[in-house]
Amino acid sequence: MDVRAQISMVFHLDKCIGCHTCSVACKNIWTDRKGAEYQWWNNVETKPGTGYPGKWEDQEIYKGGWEREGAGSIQLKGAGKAKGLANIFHNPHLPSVEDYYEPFTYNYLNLIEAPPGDDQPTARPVSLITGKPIDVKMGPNWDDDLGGSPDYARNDPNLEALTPAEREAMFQLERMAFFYLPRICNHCLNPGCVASCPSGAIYKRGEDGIVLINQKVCRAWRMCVTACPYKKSYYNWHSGKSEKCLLCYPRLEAGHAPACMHSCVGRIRYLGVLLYDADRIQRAASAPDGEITRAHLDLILDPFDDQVIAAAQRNGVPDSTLKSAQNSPTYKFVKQWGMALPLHPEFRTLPMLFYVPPLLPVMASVTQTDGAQKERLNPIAKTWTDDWLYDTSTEELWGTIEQARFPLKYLASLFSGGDEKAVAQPLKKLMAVRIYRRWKTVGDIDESRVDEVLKDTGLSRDSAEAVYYLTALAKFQDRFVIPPAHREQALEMLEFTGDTRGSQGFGFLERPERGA
Amino acid sequence: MTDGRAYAAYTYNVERLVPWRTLTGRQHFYLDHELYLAYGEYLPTYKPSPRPEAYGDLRETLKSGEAMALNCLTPHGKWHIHSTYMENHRMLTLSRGCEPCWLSEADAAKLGIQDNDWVEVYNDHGVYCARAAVSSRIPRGVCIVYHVPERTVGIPKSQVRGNRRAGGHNSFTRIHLKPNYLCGGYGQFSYHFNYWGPIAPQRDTHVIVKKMTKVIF
Amino acid sequence: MALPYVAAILFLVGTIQRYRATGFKVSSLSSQFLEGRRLFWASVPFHFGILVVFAGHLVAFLVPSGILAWNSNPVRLLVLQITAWAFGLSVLVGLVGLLARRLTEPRVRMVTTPMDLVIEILLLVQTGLGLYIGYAHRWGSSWFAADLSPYLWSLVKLDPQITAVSAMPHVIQLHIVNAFVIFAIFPFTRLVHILVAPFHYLNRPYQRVIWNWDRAAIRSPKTAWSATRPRNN
Ligand code: SF4
Ligand code: SF4
Repeated sequence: MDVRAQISMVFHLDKCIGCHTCSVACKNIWTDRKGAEYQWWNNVETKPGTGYPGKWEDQEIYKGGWEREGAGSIQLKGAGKAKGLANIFHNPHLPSVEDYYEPFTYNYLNLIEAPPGDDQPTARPVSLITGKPIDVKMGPNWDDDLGGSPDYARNDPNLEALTPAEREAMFQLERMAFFYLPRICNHCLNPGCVASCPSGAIYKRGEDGIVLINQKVCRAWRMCVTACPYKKSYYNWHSGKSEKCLLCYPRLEAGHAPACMHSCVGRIRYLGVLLYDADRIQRAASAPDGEITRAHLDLILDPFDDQVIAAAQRNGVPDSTLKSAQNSPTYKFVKQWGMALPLHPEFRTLPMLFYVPPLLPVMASVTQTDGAQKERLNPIAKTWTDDWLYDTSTEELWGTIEQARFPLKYLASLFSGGDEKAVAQPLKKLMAVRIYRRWKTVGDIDESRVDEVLKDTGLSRDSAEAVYYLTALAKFQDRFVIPPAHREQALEMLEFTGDTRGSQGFGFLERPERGA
Repeated sequence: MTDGRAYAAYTYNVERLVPWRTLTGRQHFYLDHELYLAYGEYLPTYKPSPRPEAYGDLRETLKSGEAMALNCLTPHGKWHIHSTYMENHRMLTLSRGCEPCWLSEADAAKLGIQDNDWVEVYNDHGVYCARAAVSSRIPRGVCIVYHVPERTVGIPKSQVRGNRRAGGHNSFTRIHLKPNYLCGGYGQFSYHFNYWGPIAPQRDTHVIVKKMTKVIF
Repeated sequence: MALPYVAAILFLVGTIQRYRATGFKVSSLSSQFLEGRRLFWASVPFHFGILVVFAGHLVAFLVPSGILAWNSNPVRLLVLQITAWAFGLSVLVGLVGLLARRLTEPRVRMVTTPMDLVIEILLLVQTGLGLYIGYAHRWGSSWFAADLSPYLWSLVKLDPQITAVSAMPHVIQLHIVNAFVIFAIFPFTRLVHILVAPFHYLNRPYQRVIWNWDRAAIRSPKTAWSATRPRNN
């Protein structure tokens, strides 16, 4: 057992309001630079939708992640030693700027400097790459709130799991639903980006599992961009280096939550330590298709187990980190309550960012009618030439999960590689907690029924209360349990202090500009 | 935010039992003013909006030819607070580079408009130019232009108005005065700027949406 | 003729200096992200072509006798010449494509430095000359091995024998001079990426984990403050 610690994240999707405050916080801190304008290390997508870069989930296009071969070994799909070196002069699977969007600004100066005329001037959009006027055709969240649904939402790769009729129903106004999916780098256990880097510039930090790109060693081969199935490694066209989310490690080391998490308006984000067994990573990553999520979750160890603690101590995991692991909100969501799942486990990078799947409105049902209902409506009512009936009468207070507006199959395609049972489990738990709380605060539900649903889902009253607390009331310190980075050693974490003795400042002193 | 608790409205009324500023000191859902009773406005119930002809927003516009009228709503936007932050580069990047006009899939198909086409939204009162955002979340017969788009940032001139700069959402909306706004001096029905006065109904109007023939900035 | 020595010194000192002072920039600034399709039709023929052509020159320089032995059979000579020429042509096609792309793609122009153009033009001249020589002065592989290789070796032995070269036609002399010029400015161009070609990738495990702390030492109060050097950066 090789016990290591990982700072991991949980995003509670029911709580995300799609405000993009997280994206803006990240952008303002890290990517407001030339060459990085198009990069959104944190982005928020609308589902169904094609996301950013367009259709990133479709690995037939982008060739990201790992694929399992017959004998149970795994290979990078679009990179790796043979493929990477053979394609080094031109990487056929590299997304280009059009796949993201051409970053733009506006010629604001024209508003002030335009010559006098009989009409108001306007600030035209100009490209941030060439400085020339452009026609804005794409943005980092172009399909936000189902914008352009004929072109984007309807082409969501996850809809392939559905029948044409089910698909169509998702776009019927009365049945339509969408949710937001915020994404950052998952700081994977089996990262494609690390494995694909020919220069060896990308590495995972042993102490906290953060995946970083050493900017000095990166030589612009861009294989990580292809190999990351989440498209969370970005190529900076100006500096000639790839860049990615660094989980705000300078903030973490100072005890602050990452900027996206700190600023999250919906308070959907949780961060804490998970202990995992590094010896079994390869086995888990190469598990057969249906078993990969279970194998992944099995890697995560119980921080209260004496054996695990002893092994962790042998391995140099500080006691302070162990303590954080025991208080970790992510451990509760992921392991203790089993309410959070990784995004697209079938990409086999073992992502360490978990999502509590959204329990979307489940009340109403829609049926097709013969139009007779319409006759009975008040004559002044506005009607559309439509024969769908939206029925809100249901016996259950919240309906049932099977009636959810989002077919389970769709959620399964996102969070469990197609296993519907696996996503139904967390949804049922979310529902059980609601029923429990309804009983407690309103009291119009039978106590016996509450106990029954709790038992069905494997929760107790205490754990339901704890889920409720962490979901609805949790304070800052409950949501972010950051292991002390031991500030006294933090400088050594970056650099040996002796290197800079007698000089000023630390680290990277050369300006990232290109002359040759 | 005090003590880990975010700002929320009416906490004084709820927690410290400060009476609401109404006739009874309680929240009112039922409004017993005579005028409200007379107009059937005493409870917040659904009433279908009148047919477009009754509004008279399109009398001149419709004369000029074949077109499809849409019910246009101008709710609060996602990327700005009224007009504030709208022209901000960050917000514009996140909102398609302008405040688009949202159309339903069916109407857009009928009008020959594709997602991201430049469109003009106009009626007898004014015109607004924007890009189209075609979406399944918009009901048929309705289009949405969020509150206070910025007309001088990245917006071409209006062709239906002879190549002139178009206005914002206020140019094609107008105030429809409802008689019950005229009652006053009765408890909470007393004029107070931005609190009690002619409000929301001007957000509901009828327009014609047309693809822009030429894009001239 | 001091040019070869100036070139060698510039090459060596320049490369070391560039790596030391601006190690961040020791790479070729890729523009595939800004434009990918035309790059494919230019970069791939260029790179594969130049690898073969450069290797050919290198072999002729290092083991001239081997080349001569191979060329003793006219069929084999012909095969060698045609292959070399074909790859040279591929370099030319690629280079023209690269240059055209660099000049006509507005986005690629934004990441183009004057040095990029200088080196591309020099390489283009060099390739053009090489192809012309290959066509006009036949059996270059033989006379390179027989005449030029000894000259290059004489340079290495610090005893330059330029008689062989001065007897050569002017185009060949130009080709040689241009080659030294390219060597001389090598450190100041994007060509430096050749030096960081990632062969070490082949024999490293896929995953890399770096520990900033000495894991065993950190738990022991005795060694916590020892100057254990972190292994990254
Ligand atoms: S999400 Fe992508 S960039 Fe992040 S660690 Fe995983 S493979 Fe690497
Ligand atoms: S800040 Fe939070 S609530 Fe807002 S979009 Fe980001 S994750 Fe969602």
